[in-house]
Amino acid sequence: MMSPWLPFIYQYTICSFFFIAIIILSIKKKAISIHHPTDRKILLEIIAGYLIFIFAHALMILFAGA
Amino acid sequence: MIKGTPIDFTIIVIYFIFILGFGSFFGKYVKSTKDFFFGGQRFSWWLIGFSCVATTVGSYSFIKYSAVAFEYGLSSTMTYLNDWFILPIFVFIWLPIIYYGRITSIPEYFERRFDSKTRTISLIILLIYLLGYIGINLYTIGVAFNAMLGWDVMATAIVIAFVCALYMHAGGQTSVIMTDLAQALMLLTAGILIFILGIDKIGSLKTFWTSLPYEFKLPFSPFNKPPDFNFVGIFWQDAFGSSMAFYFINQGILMRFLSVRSPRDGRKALFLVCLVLMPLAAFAVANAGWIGKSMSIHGLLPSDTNPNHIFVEVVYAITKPGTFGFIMAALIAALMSTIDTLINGVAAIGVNDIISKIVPDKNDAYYLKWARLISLLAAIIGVALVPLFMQFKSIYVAHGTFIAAVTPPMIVTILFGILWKRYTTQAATYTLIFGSIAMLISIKWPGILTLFSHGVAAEGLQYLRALYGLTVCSGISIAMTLLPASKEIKDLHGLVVDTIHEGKVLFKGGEPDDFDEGKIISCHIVEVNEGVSLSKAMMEHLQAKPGDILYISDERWWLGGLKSIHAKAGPPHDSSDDIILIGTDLIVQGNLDINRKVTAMKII
Repeated sequence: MMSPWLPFIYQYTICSFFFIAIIILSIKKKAISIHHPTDRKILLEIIAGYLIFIFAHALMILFAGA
Repeated sequence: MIKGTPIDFTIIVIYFIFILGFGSFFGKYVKSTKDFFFGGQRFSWWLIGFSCVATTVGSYSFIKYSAVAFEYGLSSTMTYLNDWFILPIFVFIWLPIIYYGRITSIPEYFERRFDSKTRTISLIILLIYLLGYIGINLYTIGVAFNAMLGWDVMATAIVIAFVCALYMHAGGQTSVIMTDLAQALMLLTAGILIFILGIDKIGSLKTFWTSLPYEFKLPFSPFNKPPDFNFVGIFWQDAFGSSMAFYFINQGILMRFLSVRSPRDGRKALFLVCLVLMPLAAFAVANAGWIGKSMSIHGLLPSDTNPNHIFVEVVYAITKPGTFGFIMAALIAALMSTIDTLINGVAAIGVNDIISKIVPDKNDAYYLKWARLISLLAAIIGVALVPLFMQFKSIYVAHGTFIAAVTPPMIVTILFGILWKRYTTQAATYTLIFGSIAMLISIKWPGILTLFSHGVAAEGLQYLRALYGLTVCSGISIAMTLLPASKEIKDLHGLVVDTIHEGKVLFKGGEPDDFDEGKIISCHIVEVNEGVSLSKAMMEHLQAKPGDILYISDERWWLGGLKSIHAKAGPPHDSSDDIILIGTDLIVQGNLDINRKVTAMKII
């Protein structure tokens, strides 16, 4: 049986590339500004949400054997 | 075997009557095409969030995800839990473009960004996508009700399409959003109820969990097998195919986000959808399969139960008369909440991209009549497409094949269009035409998909059609844009990531100031001839200046913005601080009650 972590790594590698590239582009093209509190707050919320999904999926794999 | 008792049938009939009356009630709020298509751009984030989830969960969802959940376990949730990576592009780029650009339809974006030819091509692809989506939803509910209640597939599709079209005809987007709230609550409740009753039947949560095998508890299916539900195929088909299509080319969803009172609320709605409601929906639509698996292990269900029937079998086994009817009504709710959005989307495209082009310069009432007529027509065409989907082997294959075949050229064109200023009209046209041809080639000769197989067996290659399509279409887009002869200079204010600020300036008619959110104030209405005016102190409290756009709403939050209006702030008045002066026309337009207090906030 293949490692249960392979899909996890595949998904979050590709999605993270897309996720980070868009954030960098948005900042570079001034669609958002990290100097403004509102934009910074939204950006942090989005990153936090993404980390929640990564963390939740990792926990699900770890607890599958429980 | 026909299931259901007279009590169940009565509950289903009551549901139909309730939803028809509830949806039609909001017809009184529709005074213009703006109301019909965008609900007057007045709704709160939580209302839009629930509405989006009700739209995402179609009738096929319960049947399809319960079937894969029964066979493969918790990995059935992976398609609902991989949307978050789309948030930056949607929140920072796409939402500001459509909202501040006042883009009323996807084809309209194509014309403004490219030209009228690409608008026509995108119109054709979009109509195929939306009408096909209506057809497949009607087909699924027909199959489900044929198995459960013995109803004829076509008759079921006709009855449901008719009810949907009737309330849509009356209330447009407002009816869609309001009925979606009821339907979302209903389908989430039904899903949770199935789990509680299922656990009760099995014995305990611990008995349920320990009965499931290890592979069954993993959140992802194995990387490249089995052919019909492997991770890599589902990932490309759902995360990049269906989800991108849902957020970027589904006209109904575009209109939903244009119905929010501000982009800030649109962002909050999307957070609610992705972080809370989608995980809940994933649980709601799939847990009948997990319960079914545990029941079959404990001998409470035959182990050879057909996965496509598992939802019905589990629900029938764990419910009593009445509860069974409620869950069947929730299944209808899931279907109707998807179809009404699609019908509204087709009506918007029909009016904005076809009728107003053929018969321009007519008054709004004329186009409103057409919007209502096209709503009925879309329902009829959806029913007519049901026999086409009957030819597929399974609902999952029919749905997946359809989405993956139609959407990649449109997704790629929109993404390149909003992200790359240099992306040309010629490149967009070629991507739409040759991308669509490439998709047709992959259907005729699926062997071509082997190049993207990731080790998936031949029977499962259709799931990688989305990856093939995205790669081919991206290749065409890049190659055509980089051709030396294809440079062009175009006015792209507010249409690409580079020019979002200019879009805000155009929207407001002045320099935008959307960084300081200010506070929300509450005050009494005083009716005046025209305009909106607050005291100087209240303007400072809102951090607003004359010329800023304000949102004024009935103070009852639970109305979700049903009675509200956007207006430009005029010069401050000298009266009492707790008074807002509002023009008669704005009071009428926003359905405001002058005897009630209102809240005001600055939008931009």
